[in-house]
Amino acid sequence: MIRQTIKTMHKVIKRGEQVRWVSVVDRGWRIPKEITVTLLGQSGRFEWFIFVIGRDSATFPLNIRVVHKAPHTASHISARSVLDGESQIAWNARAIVERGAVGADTYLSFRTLLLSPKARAKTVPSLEIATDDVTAGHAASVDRLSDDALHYCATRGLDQPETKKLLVRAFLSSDAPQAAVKLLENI
Amino acid sequence: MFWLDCNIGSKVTMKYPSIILREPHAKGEILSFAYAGRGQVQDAGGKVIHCAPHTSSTISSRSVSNHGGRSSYRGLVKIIPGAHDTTVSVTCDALLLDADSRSDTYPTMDIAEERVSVAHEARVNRISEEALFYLMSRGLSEADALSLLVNGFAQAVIKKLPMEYAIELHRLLTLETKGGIG
Repeated sequence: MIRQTIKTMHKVIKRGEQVRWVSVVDRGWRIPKEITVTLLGQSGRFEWFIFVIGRDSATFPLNIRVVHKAPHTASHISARSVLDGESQIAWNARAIVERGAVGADTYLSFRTLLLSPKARAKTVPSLEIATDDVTAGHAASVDRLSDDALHYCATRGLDQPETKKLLVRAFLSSDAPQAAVKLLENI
Repeated sequence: MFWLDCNIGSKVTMKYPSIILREPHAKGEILSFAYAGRGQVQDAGGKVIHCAPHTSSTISSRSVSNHGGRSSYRGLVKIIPGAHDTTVSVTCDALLLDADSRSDTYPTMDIAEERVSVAHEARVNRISEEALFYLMSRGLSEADALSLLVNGFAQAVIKKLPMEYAIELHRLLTLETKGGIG
């Protein structure tokens, strides 16, 4: 399912259910949105790909909570954001694996590309693990456009705006599902 | 500046060695280890605040939870405007030795400067059954194999400690994993 907005909601994943969300957002909001996903049924699976393009003074405050209550559940959240102007992200994500959720697999990934000196990123990907039979991890990175890549493209005749567009698209599309790649090409 | 932080005692520990990098080209490193045994809560971590350009920092945290203990990593990486060309790397590894133990990770990254490179990763695991089987097939008892693997996990910290502390930590981990204490 592809969404171009994010709304506060609580999703319950039942036994064997597989849910995939793809969110491509380029309009910010002021009041933090609260997304809670509860994996209540055994072998439930949740995937969420979030792509954020921030411009001007857009803000994207988001609180995500993923709770594994049943065994052999999986959740993967991958968020990529590109921030220009004075845009900001403030993300708090918490992956909770409760005691009976053996065999759970959870991974949070937040990658941010800053394109301007006034853009700001604040991310807190948290884990709360209460059982030992689990695969859990998270990763977060904040970076800028590589000077080497910019120089390489300039030596091949590409001007800087075009190069930036190419690199930003490559950053956003690198692990995007096919349906999202088409949307991202229009950014 | 280098912090070597080892948390093995006390019922509740909340300790976060911090570094403020105020001048250009300053470097900071925090190496943290926590062992949470029965009834213990080890809430450790580290904070680094970058206030100047061309600074770099590394935070490496390892924790072990056993017999229902709870270990947490709570860290902060803050880069203020003007601290350009900053490089930060944070890694957190947690080991859970039984189903009653708990591990939490709360890393905060607050980045207000464009020209930086910040990376964070964390993993929570239990003892590899394959590694345990391998050692036991070579004649080690399960307790000895577990002790070897836990000491190997903590080795990155143990090798930086002064000898007396390194021996004490090594013995504590061996006794805890073999059931000698508590």
